[in-house]
Amino acid sequence: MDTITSLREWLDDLIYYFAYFPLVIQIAIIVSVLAVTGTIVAYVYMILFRWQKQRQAKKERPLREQVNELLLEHIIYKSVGDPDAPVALPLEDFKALPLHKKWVADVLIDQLLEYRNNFTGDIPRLLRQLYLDLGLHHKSATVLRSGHRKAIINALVELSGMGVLLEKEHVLALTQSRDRYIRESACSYWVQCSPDAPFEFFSHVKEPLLAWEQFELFRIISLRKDIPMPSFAQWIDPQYHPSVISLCLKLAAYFQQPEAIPAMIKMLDTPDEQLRALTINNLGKLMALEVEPILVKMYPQQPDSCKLEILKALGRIGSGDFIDFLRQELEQTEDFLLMKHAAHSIVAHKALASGLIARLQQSLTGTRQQVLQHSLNPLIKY
Amino acid sequence: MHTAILKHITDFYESAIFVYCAGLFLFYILLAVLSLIAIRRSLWKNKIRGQQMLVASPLTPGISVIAPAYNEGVTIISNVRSLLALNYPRFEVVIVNDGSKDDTLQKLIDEFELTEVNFAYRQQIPSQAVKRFFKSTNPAYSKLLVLDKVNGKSKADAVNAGINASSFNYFLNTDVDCILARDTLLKLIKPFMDDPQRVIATGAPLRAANSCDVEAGVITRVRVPRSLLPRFQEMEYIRSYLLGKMGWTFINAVPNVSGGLGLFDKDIVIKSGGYDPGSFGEDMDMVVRMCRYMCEQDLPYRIHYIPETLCWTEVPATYKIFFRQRVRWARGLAQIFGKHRKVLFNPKYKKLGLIIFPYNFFFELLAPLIEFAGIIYYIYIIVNHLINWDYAIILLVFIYTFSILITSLSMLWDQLIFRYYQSWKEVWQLCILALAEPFIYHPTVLFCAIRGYFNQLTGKKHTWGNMQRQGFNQSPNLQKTI
Repeated sequence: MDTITSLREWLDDLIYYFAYFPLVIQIAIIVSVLAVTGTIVAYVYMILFRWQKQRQAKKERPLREQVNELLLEHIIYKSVGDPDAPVALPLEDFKALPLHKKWVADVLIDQLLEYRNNFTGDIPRLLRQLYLDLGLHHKSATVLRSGHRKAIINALVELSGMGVLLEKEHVLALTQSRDRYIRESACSYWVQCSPDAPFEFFSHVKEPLLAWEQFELFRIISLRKDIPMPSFAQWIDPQYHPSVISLCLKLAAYFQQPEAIPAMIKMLDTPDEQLRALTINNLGKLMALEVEPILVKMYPQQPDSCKLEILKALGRIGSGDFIDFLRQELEQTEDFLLMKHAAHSIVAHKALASGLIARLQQSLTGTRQQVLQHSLNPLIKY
Repeated sequence: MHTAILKHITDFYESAIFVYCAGLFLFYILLAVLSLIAIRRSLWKNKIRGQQMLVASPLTPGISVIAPAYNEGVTIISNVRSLLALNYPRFEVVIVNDGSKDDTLQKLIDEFELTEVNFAYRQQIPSQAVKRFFKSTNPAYSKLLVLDKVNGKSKADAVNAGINASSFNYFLNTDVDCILARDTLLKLIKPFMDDPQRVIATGAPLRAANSCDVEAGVITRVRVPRSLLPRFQEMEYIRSYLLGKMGWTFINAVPNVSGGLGLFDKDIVIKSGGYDPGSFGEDMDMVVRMCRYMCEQDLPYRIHYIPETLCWTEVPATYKIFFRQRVRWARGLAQIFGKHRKVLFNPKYKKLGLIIFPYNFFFELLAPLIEFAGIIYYIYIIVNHLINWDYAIILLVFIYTFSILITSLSMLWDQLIFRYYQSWKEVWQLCILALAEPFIYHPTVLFCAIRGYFNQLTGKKHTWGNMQRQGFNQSPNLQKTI
């Protein structure tokens, strides 16, 4: 009791004499009071935050179960059980949910997106139809023009996930947005949902498509089965942005479009080293036979990154016409990586190189011999 | 006359110390604000961009996971299995047996059906000789490459050997005893793909695995460490990663990527000379040299930290091992400032020279010395009855309350992210430690720092010693089956 009384007296004195303390002590007192207040606020917030999250999870759990049951019973089981039978959407059952409440609509949309991501076949189409019939898209459609950055991006992600294209002109304009994230989401959305011209914006790209965007666009494009793929050669042209060319090079190789080879050959003159190396890489993946002599001819003038790609491309094309060039490189280069890729490419020629490999095993020594053994070992992949 | 001069000196000293403390506290507040923004931004980006897209993409870049192992025979098999089970489409696991004296290598050979291969190895960065290379004859383990090398007496030497043998352009530096989250590689590679500038390294928080439930090399239940010392370290890790590193990430001034978990651009690491086997703080030294290289080449770069915990490691549970670790860390810091003294206040090194190094010099390197001098001063004025007890108490309360505030904020940030701990009790167990830290844990760390500096100054030989593993909790399901 005495301690408490003396502490109280001490605090009373502190307040009374505060104005007479040196500045340093005044600051220390103020900071201490703020720190204690801040600590209390932090703990109260922590309690409230955890409690709110628990409450939200408790509230959402039965709804999620109900939505899951409805989706499984009326859409998933029926589609999986008899894929050819038409599935009638149970709109009344879903309308019985209190969808006017934001959190209920959000839970439903969340579940629809998850199911769309995890199923193929007719199920994603049915889920999309359900989304539209329940009018769940109206909110996102309104938000698209709201001017609120994060809301626009969320709306684009949601609409893209549901495969619903709204506000065509506006979305196309958003693909030119100055905000990186809006631009990126709009591009993905456009490529995902546009029924007739998903690649239209390629011609107007001014800002670089980052590696992540290229991955995302590549994934979306490679999954679109509802439209015929255009010839990506049309964008393999120096007049377009280098990142668009880079993406189209990869797409042309992925979709095995040999008609892109002439456009790619023209790109071999580009001063951009990275783009040139990528072009060579994709020519190799297209197994462009006619490009082999060009690659061998340009080899001596190229930087190491391009030399490496030329050696890899010769291995992939594997006509056998330039196997002697590869042997020469393996025997003469001092660069370890070039040596390794020359050996890999010789081995990639398989039967065509069997005689040469036998001779090289006899003649090579030291590192070069080791590199060849490394490449010949089926247990070593890289 | 003498008394007047002495009074002036003590007044100046007291004011200087106050200004120093105020500066440090201002930095902490700034970091707290910046880290909150960085964490929220990172969580938002995660929400709009799922990394699962990387799993199916043929464009996903390859990653070499490099894990040195020294006398890890007890746990090596489950640890390697855990690394092989990472969720990523294109990776290899390079285990560097650093001249273990136990049966680490033999266990690997037996378990993973390894056979010696003729491997084309190029020494681009220095390391002790690699004696043998092993690959598995079982296609299920085709991702595994095992190196058997001469012991280099440091992790740096082993990592360098792993880098020399690795195949991909990115490598993950980890410890073989660390438990990684399955999506570690997916989450760490994201910043490399998603930044307009060249990203040279990414890291993520580590936590104590000491009391967590582990099943087949996977964390099944995160728990607060039961023992006091690991629990203090858990709290310190949360504060250091969430409040410190995330704050520095926001202004692209990350001073260090932890040696326990970091994804690096191999090209820059090699061009910077690789890890220094002679360094006691090889992870920070490596990052400093990478940043120096980028600045000297006038190349823009970024180093990222992400807020999610991706790695659990067994932290020292005994004071002996803890002292040894912290003395080494302190020595490493002093060594770095000796080695890179040209960087300090040098505008050529941009943020490294003008923010990272000055901050670390004044508030990391000098802090223990200033604190130690402060304690001596306090004792002196108490003994000589020069102390004004009211003011002394006010100043101590000032420092104490602020330190609690900073720890509380980091705990709050942690709760905002994932809420790793299931129960309230566990959260409070950590929060309550903030009250005790200035009296128990902090003096221990201070002592280790002073000892480390002393050892560095006197050039005392450091003995590395072996970290005695206590093993993890096996989850109840697994215990039943054993």
